Amino acid sequence: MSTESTEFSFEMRNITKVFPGIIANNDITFQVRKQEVHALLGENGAGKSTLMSVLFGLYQPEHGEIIINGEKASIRNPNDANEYGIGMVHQHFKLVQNFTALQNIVLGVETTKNGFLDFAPARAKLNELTEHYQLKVDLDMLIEDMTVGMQQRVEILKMLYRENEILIFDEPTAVLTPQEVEELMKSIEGLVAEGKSIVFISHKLNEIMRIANRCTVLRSGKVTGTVDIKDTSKEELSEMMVGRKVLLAPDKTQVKPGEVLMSVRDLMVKGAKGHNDAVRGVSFDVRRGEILCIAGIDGNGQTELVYGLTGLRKIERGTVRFGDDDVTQKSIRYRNSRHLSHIPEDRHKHGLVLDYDISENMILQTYYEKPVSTRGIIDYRGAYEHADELIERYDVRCAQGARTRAGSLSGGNQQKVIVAREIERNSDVLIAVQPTRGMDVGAIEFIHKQLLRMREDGKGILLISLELEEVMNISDRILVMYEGEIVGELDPDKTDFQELGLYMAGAKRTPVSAA
Amino acid sequence: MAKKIFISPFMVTFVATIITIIIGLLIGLILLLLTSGNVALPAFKMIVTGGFGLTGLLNGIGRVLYYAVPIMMTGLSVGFALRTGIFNIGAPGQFLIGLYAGLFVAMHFSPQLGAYTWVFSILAGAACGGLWGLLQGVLQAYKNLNAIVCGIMLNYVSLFLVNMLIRSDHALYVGGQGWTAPVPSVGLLPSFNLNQIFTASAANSGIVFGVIVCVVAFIILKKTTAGFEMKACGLNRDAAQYAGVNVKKAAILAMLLAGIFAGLGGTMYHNGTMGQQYTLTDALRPEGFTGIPVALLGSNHPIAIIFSGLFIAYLEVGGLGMQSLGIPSEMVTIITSVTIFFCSFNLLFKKMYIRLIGKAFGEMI
Repeated sequence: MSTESTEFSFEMRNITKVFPGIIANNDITFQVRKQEVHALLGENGAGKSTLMSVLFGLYQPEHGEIIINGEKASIRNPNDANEYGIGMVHQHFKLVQNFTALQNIVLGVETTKNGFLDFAPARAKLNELTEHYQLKVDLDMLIEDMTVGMQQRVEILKMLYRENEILIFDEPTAVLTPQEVEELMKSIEGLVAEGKSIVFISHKLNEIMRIANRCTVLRSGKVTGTVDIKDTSKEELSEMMVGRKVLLAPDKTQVKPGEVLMSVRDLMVKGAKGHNDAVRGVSFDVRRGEILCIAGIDGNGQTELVYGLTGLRKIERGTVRFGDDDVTQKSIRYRNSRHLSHIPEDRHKHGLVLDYDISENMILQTYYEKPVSTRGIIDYRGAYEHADELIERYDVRCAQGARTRAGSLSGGNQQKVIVAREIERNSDVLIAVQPTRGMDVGAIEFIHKQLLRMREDGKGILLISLELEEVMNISDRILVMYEGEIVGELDPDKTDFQELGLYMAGAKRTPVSAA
Repeated sequence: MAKKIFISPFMVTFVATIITIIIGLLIGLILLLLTSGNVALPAFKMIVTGGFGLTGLLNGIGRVLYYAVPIMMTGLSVGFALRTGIFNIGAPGQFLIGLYAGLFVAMHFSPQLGAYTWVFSILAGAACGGLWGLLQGVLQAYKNLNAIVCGIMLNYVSLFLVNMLIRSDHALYVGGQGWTAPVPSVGLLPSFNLNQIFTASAANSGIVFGVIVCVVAFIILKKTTAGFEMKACGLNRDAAQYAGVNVKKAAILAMLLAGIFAGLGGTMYHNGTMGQQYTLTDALRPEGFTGIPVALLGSNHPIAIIFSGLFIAYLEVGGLGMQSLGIPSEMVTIITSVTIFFCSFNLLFKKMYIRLIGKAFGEMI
């Protein structure tokens, strides 16, 4: 045992963690070697987050032990974990928006001089770290002004500043652009070279194949295996994770596009702070039976375009029409109730009321209409039954059925609730913004199937996506958005990643006719 | 499973509230021991027993029922608004406007309205309190005024507006002695014989109406589409907007209702019992602010607020009893206030309780 224990940076042995009605971790053994990138792969709800919460002392396991550097560790809370040199970059960053990078990093371990804050030593140490690890961070920039990629680097710096040796990345690429992903990969390689051990939690098989040395796969709370990356393939990993063969590229039937359902002309929408034009004269049509994809790097006006289309933000110029119905000046409710379903970009901000249960979230837009309510009184019993049926059909994994609080669901299951609700509203047009963001292959396959089924049913789908693979796999037409404008229209069958990348980076553009 | 019972949301809230109350009382005791030495223990007994021993049990209950009405209503006002994401610190203003409106109707229209005067007083109080809340709601929603600043300022506007209106009104302001004439008997809420059941107390039908209003508020939140909208706005404004809810309208409706509840409290308090005379002062009435701990102790739940309102009234009655032990009335106010203050800490104890149960069952929940 003693020779083995020195080989590992940390070990979690035979961890079992039980929640009411569910065994989240069932006898899991997870061993991470020194200086390796160890991927942790599993579907939503497979037990990855629980396992990491056990490591951080947020949960106490029923059985099992944690061994760090060959010695048994007792971790009762995140501070203990920090003492043992364990740090984590969460999927949703834990940063104070209106603090600078520097302030965020020292928060909790402030250096003081005569009782007053003294940033000088912290700044010196951080400058050294950014230099050493090649992490581009402006220490004096406010978090709210940073790109997501830079915010993530702040989180990494935070761990380095606390001299953590075991670094855990929870779905680190879910929010990054392809370029930022590459930069992150380089940072991780640098960290490993300096002796750190990395746990890389991800759904993305490409990235795991690219960066990891070994991979442990979880399914329904159990370990299905730990494999060396050089001896495995994407197909094998996805089968281990889901328990069956998965179609990584969905089957697409031929559908002939019909009449125009939504038509957008010369649209102009302002940006977040209202003083720049985020969407600058965009025109396109969405037809019956097609999936039109808007590709582009995050932050090129896609968010604002969707805000304009759905009514969340005022349209400055141009028109949005559904058939003959000009909705440019109409309310969100008007558009929602007549024409439009919307899977929003941010499921926590817009998609769900986390403190409402599943059934209440399922009636979020329809609560005031028959049959959900009559004369202002909501039929909750009917809502529960309806929700239970959708939970069944869309395979939402939840502990207490329709009465489960949305906030207690895993991210993937939250997304399924939104997808179920938006598809079931049966609108003519669906705007799906990054519908598979942060989801595992099984769930991605499921959502893609639903989108393709809608397409076959003669709906029009506008897909906003940052995932190139998704863009290529399921869309019928691709429009590339760059700095608020449509810079090219591409046929997914006739283009490749390279060409798409050039358009997305603004290096290439061709005039696009509206229709 | 035993654990399931212990961690049900009701149980957690209930136990935490009880713990909070006990801690609040203990802090009251410490204060008494520090300040009142030899009478500390009898005084503490007075708080705990709600002063029931002093004037008889039935009279004591009657007094609690009487004191509970205004704070139950302001508590409901604050709690209801909080459920919709708004901190209604303007409740004292709405309370006062309601009080004035009820008084105005009773003094000016009793000849015409006769035996129904009290009904119209209540309606006027509700309507004017509601309008005052609505004003605040509109300013917040359309002019983006900070809710706290707006509420506090409107409190003072209402205070001096009411003083001014009373001073210039000869029917109300008799003799220029600094207080109003008493409400004529047709303007008083019916007693429902509560004052006799609970011997010689001021208990009246206000408590019945108060409970009914709380139940109505409960139904609005629990069953109606408007409640669904308002709660959604309180929990996640962005999601409510995404769903097509007119969030401004919902916020204004919430403030209208909160104003109605507080306004009703004002009228039912002042028109509650014989001989009430409103004294012109430069200070806001405490009933409005007491609504905040009542709401917090009741976890903003309309039904729980019925009980938290009764409980705080019970403490106040006990506190008044302490004066008979020679403790100065200022000290009494300080002690009851501190006790009430600590009674609004139940959120803290909720978390502690969940931890404790988690430990007892060997896990975090």
